[in-house]
Amino acid sequence: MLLTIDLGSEVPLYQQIRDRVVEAIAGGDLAEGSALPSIRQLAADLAINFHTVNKAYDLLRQEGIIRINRKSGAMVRRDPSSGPPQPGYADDWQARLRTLLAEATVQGMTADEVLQRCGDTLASFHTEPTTKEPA
Amino acid sequence: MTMLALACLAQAALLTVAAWSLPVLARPTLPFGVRVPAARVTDPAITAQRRRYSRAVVTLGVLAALVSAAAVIRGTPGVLTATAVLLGAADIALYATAHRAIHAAKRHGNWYADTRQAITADTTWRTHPVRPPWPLLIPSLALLTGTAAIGLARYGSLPDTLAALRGLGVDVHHRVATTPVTAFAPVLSQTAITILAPLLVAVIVRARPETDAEHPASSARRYRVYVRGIATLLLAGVACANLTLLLLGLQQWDLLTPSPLTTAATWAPMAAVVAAFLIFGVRVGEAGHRLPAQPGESGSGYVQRDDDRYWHLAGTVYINRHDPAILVHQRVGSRWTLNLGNPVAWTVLAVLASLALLQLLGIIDLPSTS
Repeated sequence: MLLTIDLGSEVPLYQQIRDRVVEAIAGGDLAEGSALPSIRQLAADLAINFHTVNKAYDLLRQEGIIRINRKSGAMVRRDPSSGPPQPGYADDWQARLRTLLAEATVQGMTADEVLQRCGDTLASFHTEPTTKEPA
Repeated sequence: MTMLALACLAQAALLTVAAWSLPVLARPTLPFGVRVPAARVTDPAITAQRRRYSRAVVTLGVLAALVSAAAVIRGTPGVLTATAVLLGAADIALYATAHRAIHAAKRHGNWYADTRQAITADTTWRTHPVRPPWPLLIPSLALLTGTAAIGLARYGSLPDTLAALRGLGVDVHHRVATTPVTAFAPVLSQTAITILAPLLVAVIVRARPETDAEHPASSARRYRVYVRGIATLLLAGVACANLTLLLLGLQQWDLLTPSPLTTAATWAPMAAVVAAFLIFGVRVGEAGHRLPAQPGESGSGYVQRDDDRYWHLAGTVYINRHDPAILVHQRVGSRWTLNLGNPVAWTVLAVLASLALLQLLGIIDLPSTS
């Protein structure tokens, strides 16, 4: 998986790391059981502070997306085929979605356009993974 | 005298070719050790510096060759070393000048304006790491064992003095007292190489990969091929070095007669290693940048982060306190360098400096072939 961080973005680095991992799982680049680099390794590969990656991994762990084991490192804990979400998750997610949709409405996007883009994005998660494991 | 004059010409030619090829073989986005966006690699400022540097290096090389050869013919043999030092220093100064000029052009032209800088990590570098071809160490170990066995069998019947290992072979006119250290110098050197080279390979495959945010998939794939190639060459190089040391040992132990043919045969394995590295450097390039792109590998819309502020001495020294990496790929050549902003790097340097100091004071005796 190629994890790219936009240094000019207003989104904090730890949030970008978290977001890229979630997108990689949704897109099929990572699956339940897939290994992730340790916090130190990823920090060294991105040339960023260890605490930034630690914060990102902690966020993912709290969301139940990865598990961190001192011996085996970090590992993906759930993917789309892992079953339905935890109780209450859908309501929390809808609360966050409300803000995104409000932004789109304020900016003048029509409902049809919003639904079209949502459909396109969801469809992109079900295409072939963009990265393959090396030989 | 003729041989010395030829040596002057060959030396000047080698140094000039090495200096001339440095920017030619460098990654296009790192001209003279300066990070530039891919869109700027053909900028007139860079092209002009390449041309100026190339002409100056060749001109200096030709001058150095002629002056040194003439001096040697007129009876000044010491000019060989002086020429190497002066020519090397001049080439370094030319490189540094080109580096500063491009850096200034980049700053004045604001080359990173309107770009989106990013950094990319390939997580498979850690989860599916490059596996060095460790079986290539088997011939090295066999040669080491064989050399030690021959040395042990021969030790009892060695004379009181041994021909010293000097230059490219053994010098029967310069002799050293026969001691376990002098007699087994080739074996000790083989042991050191057979231990250090695999350690170096193990460290290189764990160092941060050179992934370019502008072409993440392509650069990650190419770097993997590049590191596997470097690991292969280093491990094969150990076997060649051990073979060379075996042949030197046989000469020192009077089991092989020193001659021009013997010297050529002795150094043929190392010549093969050097040739292999050169061919690899030309075909694969630094960080694999000369490997062809594959279908579907396109640009990301980002440019690799401009981290010039952490690189010093024309892209050869890296100091970044906020970077946890200990070893990073150098911007010049196919080499790695310590991150001097990391305390572990200073520990490594302190250990090496201590060993050197202990060797200088005679407290320890590190293996040597001269």
